Amino acid sequence: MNSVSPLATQYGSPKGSQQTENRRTPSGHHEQRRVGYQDVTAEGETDEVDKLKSKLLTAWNNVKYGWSVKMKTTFSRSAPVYLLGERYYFRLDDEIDRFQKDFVSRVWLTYRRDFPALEGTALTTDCGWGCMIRSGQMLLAQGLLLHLLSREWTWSEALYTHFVEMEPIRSSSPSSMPLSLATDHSGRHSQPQTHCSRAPYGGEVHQNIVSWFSDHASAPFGLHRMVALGSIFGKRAGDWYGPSIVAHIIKKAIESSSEVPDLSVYVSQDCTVYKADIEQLFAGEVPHTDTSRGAGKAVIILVPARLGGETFNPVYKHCLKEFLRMPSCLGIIGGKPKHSLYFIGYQDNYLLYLDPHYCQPYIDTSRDNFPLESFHCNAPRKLSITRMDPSCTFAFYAKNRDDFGKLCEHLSKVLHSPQAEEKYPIFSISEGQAQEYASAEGQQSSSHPPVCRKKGPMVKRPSSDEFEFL
Amino acid sequence: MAQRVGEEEQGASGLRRRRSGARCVEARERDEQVREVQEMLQRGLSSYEPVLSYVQAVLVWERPRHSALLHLALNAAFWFFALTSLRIIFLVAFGLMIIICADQWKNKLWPELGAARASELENESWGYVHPRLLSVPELCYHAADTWVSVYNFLRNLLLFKTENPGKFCLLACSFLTFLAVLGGYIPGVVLSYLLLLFLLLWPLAIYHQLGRRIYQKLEPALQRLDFSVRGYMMSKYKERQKHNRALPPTDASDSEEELAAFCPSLDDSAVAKELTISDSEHSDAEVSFTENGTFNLSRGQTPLTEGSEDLDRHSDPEESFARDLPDFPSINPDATGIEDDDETSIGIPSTALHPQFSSRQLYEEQESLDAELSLGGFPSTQNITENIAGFVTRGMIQLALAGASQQTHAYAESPRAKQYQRNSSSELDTDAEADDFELLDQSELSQMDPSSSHSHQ
Amino acid sequence: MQSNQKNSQPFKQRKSLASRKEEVIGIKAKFPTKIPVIVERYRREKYLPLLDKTKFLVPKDLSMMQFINIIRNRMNLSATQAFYLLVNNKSLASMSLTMAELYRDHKDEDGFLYMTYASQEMFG
Repeated sequence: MNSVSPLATQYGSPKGSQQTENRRTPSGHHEQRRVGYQDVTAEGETDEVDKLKSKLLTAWNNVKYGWSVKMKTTFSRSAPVYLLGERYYFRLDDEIDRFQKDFVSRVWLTYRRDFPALEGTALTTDCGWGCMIRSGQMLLAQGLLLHLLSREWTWSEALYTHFVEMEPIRSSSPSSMPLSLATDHSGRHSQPQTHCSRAPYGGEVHQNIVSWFSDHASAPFGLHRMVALGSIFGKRAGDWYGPSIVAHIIKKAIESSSEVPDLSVYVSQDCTVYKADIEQLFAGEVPHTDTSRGAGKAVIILVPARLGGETFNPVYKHCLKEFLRMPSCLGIIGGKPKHSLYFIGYQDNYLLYLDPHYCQPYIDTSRDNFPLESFHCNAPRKLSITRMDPSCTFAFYAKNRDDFGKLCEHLSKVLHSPQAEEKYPIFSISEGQAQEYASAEGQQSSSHPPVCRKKGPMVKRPSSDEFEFL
Repeated sequence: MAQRVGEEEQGASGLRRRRSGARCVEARERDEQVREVQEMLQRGLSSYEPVLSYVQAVLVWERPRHSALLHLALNAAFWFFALTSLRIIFLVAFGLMIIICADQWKNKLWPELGAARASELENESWGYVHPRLLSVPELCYHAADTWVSVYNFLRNLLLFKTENPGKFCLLACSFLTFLAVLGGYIPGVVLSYLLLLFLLLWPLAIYHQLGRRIYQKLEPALQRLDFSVRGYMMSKYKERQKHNRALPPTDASDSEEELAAFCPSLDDSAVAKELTISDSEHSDAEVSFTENGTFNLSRGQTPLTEGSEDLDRHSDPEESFARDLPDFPSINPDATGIEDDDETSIGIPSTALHPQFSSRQLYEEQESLDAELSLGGFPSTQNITENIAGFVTRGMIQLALAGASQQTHAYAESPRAKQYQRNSSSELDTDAEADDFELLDQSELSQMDPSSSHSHQ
Repeated sequence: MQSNQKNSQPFKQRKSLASRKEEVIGIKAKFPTKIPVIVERYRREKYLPLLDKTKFLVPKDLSMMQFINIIRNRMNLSATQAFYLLVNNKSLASMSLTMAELYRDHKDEDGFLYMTYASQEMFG
């Protein structure tokens, strides 16, 4: 998204590096400074130039982000707002409150700088290249919140943050409209504790979940881990990622982690969700292999799709909205062209999203009670659906088999609804199992006889762990 | 020290990373080589796609008549060359002549006829899509892959030869000796014919995915084999785990330790296989067979569910045997018989075997039983009739203890009396038991009222 | 590779409508049970390779799923590589459709069925 190459940002900001130096040797403070000064002069201006570049880049990023925040994000009072299956009517102030809490409680992961360098590189920031990974992390965080807490859980400090101005697009009584809701909510600081559910236990789990996405090598779902797993798919630190690759990375991250042993991830291939494979995941087996993950119970279903060629095809609008109305939807990772976003709701023809393009400093989550404010966003933003990039990945969550059955029913209704303008659904749900190279055994209801694909003598496909025994 | 260990660990992980990095580089180089060879082959073969599809179709019997012809022709050619009296050099020279003529025809004469075949050339730019046959790019890929593999193998072999001449010599000699022995016993013609048959039938086997089908057919058998040896313990361990989650922890610890010692290491895949077998036999109507014949897992139960639950509660194997009976008196499994002056024969159970019995309770029972015995003489018919179902079992146990049974007078209405009955069988003198046992003869058996139902389960 | 050089321009622009129509008529007369399909790469696609052929004769009863797999294998794609076949550069084709149904619904005026393949865009 920026023309400056990521390599220019390999050094952290000078402020950050100075701080670390000072922390290391408080006694030799003066010597350090002198050494630092000598280093600068010795190595020449290239380091300084790079640091300056990274500073400028960060500043430019944040300015751009800030601009779009300062531009009013207005919400209509008449049309309902949907946020991951929850509906809010802004005619009532209580609903605005609830919406604010709900929105702010979503985990927000953005670019970070000054984190420990990524393995094999000197990159200490993902500014400019890591946005898709961040969107994927947000999606996974939402999945974990749903899995370990509940959809109704809210962050206890959600109301301590300011909120955007709300102006109606169509308002019957402009005089009664509050100009800034920040002032309205300032008097309600005493109330938040009563609103959130399961405050003490939920808070701990919430903190744990956030720490799992920390930017250091040992975090199970942190950037370092994601980039390391991305190397399996030929991606390296500094590359741009796509929604499909991130879906596979998420799957690998969950498979190789031990924090949530009762959660599995299924990534659909060629826009087909195979029920039998997911059933196997519920039973704790990994499809197409002999391994067992133990008691795998809940499943996150990821469906990478492409909703058009060059631009978003408007025939899929209805379907998209229906997905975001489903309580088991974890959102959509996609974005504007070259600008990744995490879509979590909509109002009218505008999608609500969380934007990872804001560079924040690294937070060390190994400390107790690390600050959580930077992991929550208080500014919902909207994007017109037609401006969405066609490449995206849908995510759904199923707690158990029954849940999955209901989800399938709901999805079938949505995908094949008569209101959908497009005759062909975005993806389909099939009863059978996906075979490598899709031999038609176990495929969907087709009147044609099953046809098998002939395979070559020595099939050495690169790195696929779903390799079928032949 | 810790730092050095940490550094060593870092070093090891770094070494691993470097190794995996080197492997990645190797893999990438190999992919590059394969791609180059593939492109080269594709350039040459892309115009022959219809021919290659035809050849494939014939090889896999999509065109039966043509395939039959081909097989006949190949057989005829093979046996002709095998049995002919013509010399090798003649044949080789003749073959080369044919090849040269064909080449001339293709390069010199064919293009002159090309103008008349413009429409055919145009068609050659069409890609023929066959769902079951390999397209030219795929064929080229596989050929390139094979070529690169063979090339790398030979290169590594040469490297091995230069580095370890002795070992190489040994390896080569042993391999060639094997071939020599084989050649000594089996004629070359037969070997060549077998090779020809293999080459002809191998595309057919791949086309019909014989390997996968055979594996699917053998899979249950293989799993059953696994089941009989390790799978049994795996399934028990799994059941116990599930059960112990529901039970209070104190009950679980002993049985888990027991089992842990019994089967120290678990293999996840074997466990999964076990669940497959057990689920398919005992699942709650949730098993479904996919069309390729594999099972879908569900929460089934292992065949030993009924027994294992009791095994979890009672660690005494004897009790599992008598689980259907009311509380059994303490039995010392080591005892071969109950002796008169043996303290245990009075009936004070060892608490290890019967934690639910208190010795006091049993002593009381014994006292009342003695009173009964002293009072009553001959057992009433009513008492006798009440346990016909448990008679055999009890009899067996009593015989095993080499004691006479007292079942005739222990059967009062109250369930406690049944306990006394059990106790008495082991507690009383063997002589007395023997007497009582003898008393119950055929006449009394016939007097027993089968309609009187007194269940003792 | 001649076909690759030709592929720089979309098929529709390389040939006139009349010649395309003629080609379809000719090929259908020869192969009445096959459908002529043009498969081209999305013009902004950077990650998927070019196919060696553009024109394909596809059996009528072939399902989309099988066709996609054939194309995938032709390109030697791994199972995790995203690959989407778009009809008329707009919509995803449903996997359970047959080529005949798709042809009936989306054939062009010249008689070919135009499909575009693409993976996903990358975001930074």
